[in-house]
Amino acid sequence: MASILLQFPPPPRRSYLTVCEEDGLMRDAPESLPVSMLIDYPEINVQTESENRVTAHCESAQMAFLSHGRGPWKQALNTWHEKGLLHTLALLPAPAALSSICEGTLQKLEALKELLYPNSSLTTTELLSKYTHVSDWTRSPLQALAWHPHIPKVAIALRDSSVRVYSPNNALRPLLKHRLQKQVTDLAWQPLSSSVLAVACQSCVLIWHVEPTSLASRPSSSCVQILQFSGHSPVTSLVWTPRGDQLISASPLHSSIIVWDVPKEQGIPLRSDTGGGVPLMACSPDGTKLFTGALSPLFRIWETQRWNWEVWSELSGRCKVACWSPDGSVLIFAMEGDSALYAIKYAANLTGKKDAQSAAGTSVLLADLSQVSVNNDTGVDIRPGGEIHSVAWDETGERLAVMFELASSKDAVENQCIILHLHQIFKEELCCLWCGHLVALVMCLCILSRPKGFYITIYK
Amino acid sequence: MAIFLLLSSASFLHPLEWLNGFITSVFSLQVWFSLGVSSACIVVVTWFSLPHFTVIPDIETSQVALALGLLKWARLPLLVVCTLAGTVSSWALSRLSGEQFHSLSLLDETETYARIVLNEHHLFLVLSGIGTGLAFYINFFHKRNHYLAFPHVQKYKIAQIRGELSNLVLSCSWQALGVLKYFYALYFLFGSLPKSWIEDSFKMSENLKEVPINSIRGMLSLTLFWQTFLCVTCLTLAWSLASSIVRVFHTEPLVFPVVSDLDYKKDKRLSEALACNYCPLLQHLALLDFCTLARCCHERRLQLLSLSQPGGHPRTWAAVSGQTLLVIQELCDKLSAENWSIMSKVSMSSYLNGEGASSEAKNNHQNIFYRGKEVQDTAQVSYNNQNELQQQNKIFNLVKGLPFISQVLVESPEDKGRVLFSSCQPQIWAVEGLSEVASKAYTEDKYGVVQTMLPAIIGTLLDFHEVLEKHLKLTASIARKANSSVENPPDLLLKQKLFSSTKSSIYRIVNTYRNHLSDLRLNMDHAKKLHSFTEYLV
Repeated sequence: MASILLQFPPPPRRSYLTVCEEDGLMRDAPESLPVSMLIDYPEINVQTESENRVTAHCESAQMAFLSHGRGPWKQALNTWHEKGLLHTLALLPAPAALSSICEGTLQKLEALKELLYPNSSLTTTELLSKYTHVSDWTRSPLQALAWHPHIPKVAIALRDSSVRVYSPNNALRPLLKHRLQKQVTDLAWQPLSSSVLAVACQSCVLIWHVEPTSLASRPSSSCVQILQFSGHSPVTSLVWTPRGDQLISASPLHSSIIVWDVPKEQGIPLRSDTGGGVPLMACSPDGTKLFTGALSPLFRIWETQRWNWEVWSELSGRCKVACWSPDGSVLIFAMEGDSALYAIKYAANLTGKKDAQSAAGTSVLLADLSQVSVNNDTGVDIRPGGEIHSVAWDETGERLAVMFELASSKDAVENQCIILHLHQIFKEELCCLWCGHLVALVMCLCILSRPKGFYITIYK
Repeated sequence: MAIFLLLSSASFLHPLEWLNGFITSVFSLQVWFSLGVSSACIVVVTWFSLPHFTVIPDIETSQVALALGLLKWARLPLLVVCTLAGTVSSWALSRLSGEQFHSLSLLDETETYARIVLNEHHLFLVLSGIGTGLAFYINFFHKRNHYLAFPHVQKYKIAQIRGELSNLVLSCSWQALGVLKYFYALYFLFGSLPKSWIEDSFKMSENLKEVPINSIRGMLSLTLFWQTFLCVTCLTLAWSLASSIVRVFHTEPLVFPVVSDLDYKKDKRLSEALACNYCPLLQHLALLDFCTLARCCHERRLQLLSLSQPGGHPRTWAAVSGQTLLVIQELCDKLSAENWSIMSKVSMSSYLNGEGASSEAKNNHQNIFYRGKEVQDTAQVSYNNQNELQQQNKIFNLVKGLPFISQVLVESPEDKGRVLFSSCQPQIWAVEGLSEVASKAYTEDKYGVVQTMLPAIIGTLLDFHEVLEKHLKLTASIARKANSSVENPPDLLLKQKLFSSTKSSIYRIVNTYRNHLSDLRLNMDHAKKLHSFTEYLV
């Protein structure tokens, strides 16, 4: 199957930006033209927010000190503390005759460790940038973004690990800071609540109670609940069940997902024996199914009443992207090293029955989005497509926004985002419209559905 | 049991012999006899503990009440059974622990004479069984092992027990270490008493060859420590596992029929179970079932909202909703009464303390006047006896100020409220279930059955929310604990849970009926309260 991007209308002209869709056609406007702000929506300027504050959170405190000579024992102790036992063993002096044997054993041990605990050798920053939802997490000024499910209120996490909440018609922008709030990777507003925001941090999950009527610009730490579970760090994904009564957290270094009863501050771990950590989660909008990814090429679908799961294995790569249709009957997913979207369809109205999960048959190839080369009218080559980084589905179920992985080559520094129309999904003729790509550095993809339509939130 | 055998004969230096010995001993009659005796003990202990399982946790207001709670008449039989069963099972286990522990008496043979001497190791092991029984009894009530908490993730029974097992093993070994700590100390001090008593009554003589255990050298024996630790851990683990199985089976969700045509099944219906006051567990399960059906059982919801044939009356819905509303209303009334009493106490105390400042007193007086005649009367009386009262208060405060007594005696002022909230789990389900049914009825209610009740449901929820919010503000001294690693008592968190459920339940209804809220016939008061919830929808 050829890439469907070839069937799309031409992309916008150079230095033009797609701004909206009208009568099925994408309208574009010059980049320099100030786009009229949407009424009732908060205006956010991340640069001015973060420039005043310390931007050096990636530098560790170690850099402030000069190194000096240490005794071998102290050095070994420090290495053990920082990097583990294997590195310490490597440091210890060995007799010349034995050194080759020792080295060999060490290498084998390390390979074994990597097999048992994949990703243990990565540093936290590497790990986070690999598994977070924001593209290029280490350099992005925006670390996470979440729209409130009911009102146009948005929370964004900045590089200094602070979180700001913007709401319409309100100049007050609460700034959330806490000593445990480090390396924020995900944010999630509680559904059916006006104030509760969950923040995924390095060591724990913080629950902020940001009352909309409160006048505090820096809510104190009495507004925060801390949810910690031993071994469950760093937390990279958070999902509220649509009923808003449970929060589910996952970490790529922990094989269990934790289901939290937030007011009771009680977490119940749900163990999955194979697959390693859980870097990705998606809860179906009807609340009956939960998708959890894994480090190995498989994923799980949980039913949320009795928490049984079934495994979908033998994928071509790690599942990287997943997204549910608004009625919870279709799951779209994409894999690492692949540029196609696949879908699984579940029969409707089977909730509460025992075989509700297995009602799905097989996965089908939805669309091939491999990279193509397109000429726009100025003759410049644009290469849309490639590996998929994230997808988002709007509430009506008609449009799917797809964001591609940041291209690694020099000439293609631009990241694209396309929109697929999904009117006739799963029918013989697949009707996808080329909606143009947003020629901008898309960092974070998030769809906000409103009664009159939906908006894509991008950061450029 | 097999693991006990394997570990008790552990000798890491001779692994082959160890395994061989283990396999031969598994098939011996002795092992099966001990197994039978200890499992009989488990059954007896569990049987006697069954009536003590409860869905309403005890809230002990002070340390004294906590200690006295253990000595209630109804609980004493379990205490006796626990100690007896502990002794018998540890005796049975001691038969498997190797030669050294095998029996109470030993034959001491030398070239010149032969005599029967006391085997102190055996005695030590059996006595540790009493300690285990006591510790189990204390933990059963103090660590709320008898409290049936419904987990928010309803896994299947097997999965739930399997999930608990690893934690149980760990906590039981810790518990065993704690028991041994006290047991060793007690035996060191008073160990000679049972020893001499047995020696006297059975005419045994003291074993002079071995070091007595109640000396420092005797206590340092590793074998003894290992065997006792294993014995205590195994017993605690087996009994705790049994009680955790009981807990899991009790909290397993039950499915009640919503409608039944047969007459003899009528008393098993959901509405009957909801109204059941004499068995709180059944009422809990019924409300849990109501909440589950409201959330995810489409067919059962249709049954709930169906009309009776003939007649066409929504009898099922009327019974179920009436009962759930009643459950909420009851707590709501109790809470508002509690709120009044707290408020009057606050103003009373400030009234008494601020005797000099007349303006303050005046203010308080106005407050009291506003709160009704009853409070005013009491205030008047207390004003007359003010001097006397102050003297008493002074003495009482002086006594309370002493460090030990303050710990034992002082009750926190919110204790009455805590008791109210300790059993508020049904209200959480009732609130959530009602709001789920109400919002699902938007599309599913064919006959308009729920519509007629909607103002009542919204009104009750709004009143309940207001009372709760007021109560939380009044008792704000128990602030939300920031650290979840500190174990909070269950009632404190249930209160928060109830509040957040109520809030999201109201939001759920508001979200569903957002365009039709103005058509509802709410009274002025409720419409005003609802406004704060609709405000956030843009």
